[in-house]
Amino acid sequence: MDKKEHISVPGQWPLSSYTWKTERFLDKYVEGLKEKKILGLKCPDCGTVYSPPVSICAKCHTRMRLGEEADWIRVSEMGSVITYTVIYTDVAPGGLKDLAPEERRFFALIQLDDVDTHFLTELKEVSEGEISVGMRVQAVWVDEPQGALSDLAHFVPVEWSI
Amino acid sequence: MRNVAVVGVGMSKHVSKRRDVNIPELVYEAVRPCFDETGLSPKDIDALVTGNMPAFEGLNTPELWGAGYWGGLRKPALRITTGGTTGMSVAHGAIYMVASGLYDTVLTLAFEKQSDGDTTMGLNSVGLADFANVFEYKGDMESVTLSFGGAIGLFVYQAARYMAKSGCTIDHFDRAAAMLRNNAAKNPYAHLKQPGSTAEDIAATRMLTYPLRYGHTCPASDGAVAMILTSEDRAGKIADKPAWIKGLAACSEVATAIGEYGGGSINIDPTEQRSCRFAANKAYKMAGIEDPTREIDLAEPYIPFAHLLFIYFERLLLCKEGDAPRLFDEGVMDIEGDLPTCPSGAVMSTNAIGASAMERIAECALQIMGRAGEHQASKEVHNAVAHGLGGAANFNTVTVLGDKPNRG
Repeated sequence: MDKKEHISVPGQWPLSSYTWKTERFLDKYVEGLKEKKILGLKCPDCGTVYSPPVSICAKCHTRMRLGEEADWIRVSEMGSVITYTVIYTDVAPGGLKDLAPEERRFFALIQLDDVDTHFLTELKEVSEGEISVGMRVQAVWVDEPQGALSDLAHFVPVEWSI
Repeated sequence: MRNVAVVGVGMSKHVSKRRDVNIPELVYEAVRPCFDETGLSPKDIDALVTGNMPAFEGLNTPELWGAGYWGGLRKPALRITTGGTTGMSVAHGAIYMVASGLYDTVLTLAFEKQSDGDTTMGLNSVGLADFANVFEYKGDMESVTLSFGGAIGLFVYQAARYMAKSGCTIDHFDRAAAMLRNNAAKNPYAHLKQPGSTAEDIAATRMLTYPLRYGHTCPASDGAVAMILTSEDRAGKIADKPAWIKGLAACSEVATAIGEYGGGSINIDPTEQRSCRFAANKAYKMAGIEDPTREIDLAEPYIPFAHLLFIYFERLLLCKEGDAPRLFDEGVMDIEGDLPTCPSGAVMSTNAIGASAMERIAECALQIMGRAGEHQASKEVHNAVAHGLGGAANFNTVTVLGDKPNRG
């Protein structure tokens, strides 16, 4: 009888058996998105503006007042590219496949004007030659907002010739 | 605070798949040389500090093996797990034990056997809770997975920002990668060895996600590292030329790319690495180092991706901000250079995750002891700095080592 040189025992530790819970601190933010408004939440102590909001201010360790109308502000739909990437490859059966130039997608970390935080979004209507750190961009909404993070569909370069 | 000496260093071979040993046996391969070279035996050890990322192998409570396989029978044991910085945090735990006077001689070890596990699943378990709100509030998960697939996701943003700030190009990353691959070829413990690797070879590898190519990334390794640390009164009896721990610090920032639980992050510039500068300043001060650009002879920053060589050379305060690409071009970071950086070949060539940050200390210790062999720096190494990076590039650890203990 052939004897295998090594022993292999498959394990079982599926992440689907875990359940994480969290406070609903984005409710008001997505209600704003439904009305095509981007809301920011201001720390009552140090004034740092978060968008999307957080429940505790990392800067000064103050609990944010999610229910306090006065702490919410409508912020600009324009901002700047902090940094970006271009997706050149995608996962495919048997490994990675290279994307053709027209299939490549652009993602960026954006900081909105009047806001002290940044977030990840997709950039469209831009080319590899145009995209740059510091580029001015503006929000594009979906046609019928549902009150979801995806209402803020993506960002595009600001058109200066308004 | 008491002085702490590294008197023994051991590393296993690092390869992509060790099928011939199980995890505790792999670690034994790093522990045994520590005893053999110091002439110590497990009875001389007062405590054991261990660490890895259990989520990566799917096997919890690895300290179960400490008593039998690692020489920790009937000893106090402690496990520390902090992501990419694990190995250095583990070493810091052992240093605290000896420095405080709680224990005199401590065995510390760190490891990862990535081929047994599912590192992507392990990383998911790090990030999923933070994405809970993205699911609940129907965010675009495709964007998140496309652009954060694997650890490279975060680092591409950092690399693009660094290029814009410093003016360096992808060509710099190609050349940095080639230098590290060549250094690794001289290191008997390294995993990915490519002697004669050129920038052109690296440039010919496929672009994964702009601006990082396949040749700019690290392998997944199986491997382990161990060290014996002891107090000043014992060190001289054990080793002719110990390496001394002169300063250490760790610092955590908020995540640099996606905020906790979908909220906004105030750490908007992933190249800033304030936590690294903070930790470096603290560690240098403890070590009595006033000007690290002159007083540090060698650096082992944690470099899993090529662009980090430049960022961390700067954030460890080894030059002015933005000067690293120019100093690299001038050969300063070469093994024969004025400030050899990652003569080991770096994490980019050898990455058994839990072990990687301790290996930065181990490599500095070998260089100070003059025992690095073929990858020994040309210059004499009096002071060296080791660095660990973890989390969402927001947690940094720094250790300063020297050939003399701190005085006064």
